[in-house]
Amino acid sequence: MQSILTHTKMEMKLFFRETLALLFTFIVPAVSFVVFAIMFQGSSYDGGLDYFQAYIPSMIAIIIFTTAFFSMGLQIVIDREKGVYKRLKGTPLNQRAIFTATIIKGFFAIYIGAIEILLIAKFGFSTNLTSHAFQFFLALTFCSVTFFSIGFIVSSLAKRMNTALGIAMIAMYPMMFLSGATIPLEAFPEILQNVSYIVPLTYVVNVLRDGWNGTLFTADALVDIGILTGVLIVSAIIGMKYFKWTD
Amino acid sequence: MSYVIEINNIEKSYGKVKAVDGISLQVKRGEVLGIIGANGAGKSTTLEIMMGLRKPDTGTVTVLGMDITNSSDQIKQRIGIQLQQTALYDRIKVKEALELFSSYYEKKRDVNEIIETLGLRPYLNKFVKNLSGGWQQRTSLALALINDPDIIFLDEPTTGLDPQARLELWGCINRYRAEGKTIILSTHYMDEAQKHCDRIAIIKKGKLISCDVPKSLIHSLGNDNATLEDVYLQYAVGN
Repeated sequence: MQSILTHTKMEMKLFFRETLALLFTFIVPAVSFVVFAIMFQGSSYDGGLDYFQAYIPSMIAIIIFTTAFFSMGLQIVIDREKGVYKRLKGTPLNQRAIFTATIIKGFFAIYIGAIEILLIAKFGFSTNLTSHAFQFFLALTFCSVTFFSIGFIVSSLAKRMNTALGIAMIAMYPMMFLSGATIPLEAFPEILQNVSYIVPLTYVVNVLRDGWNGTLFTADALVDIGILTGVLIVSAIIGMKYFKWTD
Repeated sequence: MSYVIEINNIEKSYGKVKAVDGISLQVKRGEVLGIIGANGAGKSTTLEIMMGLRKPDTGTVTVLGMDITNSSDQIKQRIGIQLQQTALYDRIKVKEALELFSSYYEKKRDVNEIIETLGLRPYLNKFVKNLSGGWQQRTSLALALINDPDIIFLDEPTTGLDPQARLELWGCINRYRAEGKTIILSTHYMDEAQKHCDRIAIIKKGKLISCDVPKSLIHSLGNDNATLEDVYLQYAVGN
């Protein structure tokens, strides 16, 4: 147990030393949130949501994506390529412990990133936060698990760091811009709006908004939750079949 | 005779390539066994099977009297390994790596003693990846020693080091040899193998060609002026 705790603490410590991870998890979403808030805080969005109701969940969705793809998927490939997991295999630390530490690190990054956005909204823009904290926390945790499984697919498919980075960068553009996380989908032509249906982050944005606005347990949220559950199951099956800690 | 490792007719293939082809070998307690062979001969795979990092397709491996497939966890508590790569996280410091690896084991050697013996104190707060190759290898060796192992595996420990760093690393290794540790290593440096190894196993195309004391291997060439390098050229490279 001591070894799992120490390993998890080290994973988190190392996460805070990764410039790229910090940039994508804590800086890009926060700066985007502030800039958009300054520009659009008087606007209303899909379903009559105000800026904060729409964009607090959206920015946190981006944090989920960057954590899953960069801090987990890409980082696993980097560590595997360096032989870290092979070296750990030679110690009594088992792979379940490494997996647990990686997942805890992911949740830690996402929760800290989410708290950062909430603090900016509360103290930077004096907005009221959600009165549905439990639903939002539930949605956040569910969406995180779903994207962790996609992150593991990235590290299953990519054998080399450059490949994983390429996949993450290519995924980043549709995830950021065609999911409704940054630009409202209504602003796009119909064909691009249709593309958003195959972008998994679209459903994360929707489910987080449902959680934030207290509609997570309504029929409207069922389709989004169902699709993310499907993504989770398929990703987990692919991950279990193809993921390897060592070459 | 007390054997700490017994491997019996192991085979390992990667796709159509047979990396290890029916190797049987025994390692005595307290000896330094060197494994030599050309690149791709199967040295690392053989070592990694003994370390428990890879499973053989066929054959059995017993380490410290325990079957490696059934008692992997107990065996890992009692062995120390150093891989060809330093194989550590990019942004970990020497001190942190020592603390981290120490937490994995039930039995722990005094970390301060290892730090002093290997001269790591000035480097404790430096990132491992920023150290020179020699100091990275010392860090790797320190991690291999952290649980005071009975058997130490070293995969090409001095490859890429300058002569001074090689000499110093061997000084460190020999200190632990003097404590009666069993050391199994692979190397491309025949002078090192001749000087430091009690026995040398020659592997070629996945097969064990010979395993004997350096003198006997040299004597087998029938040339009084021969060296281990000649043995290597004859057995590991020749047709």
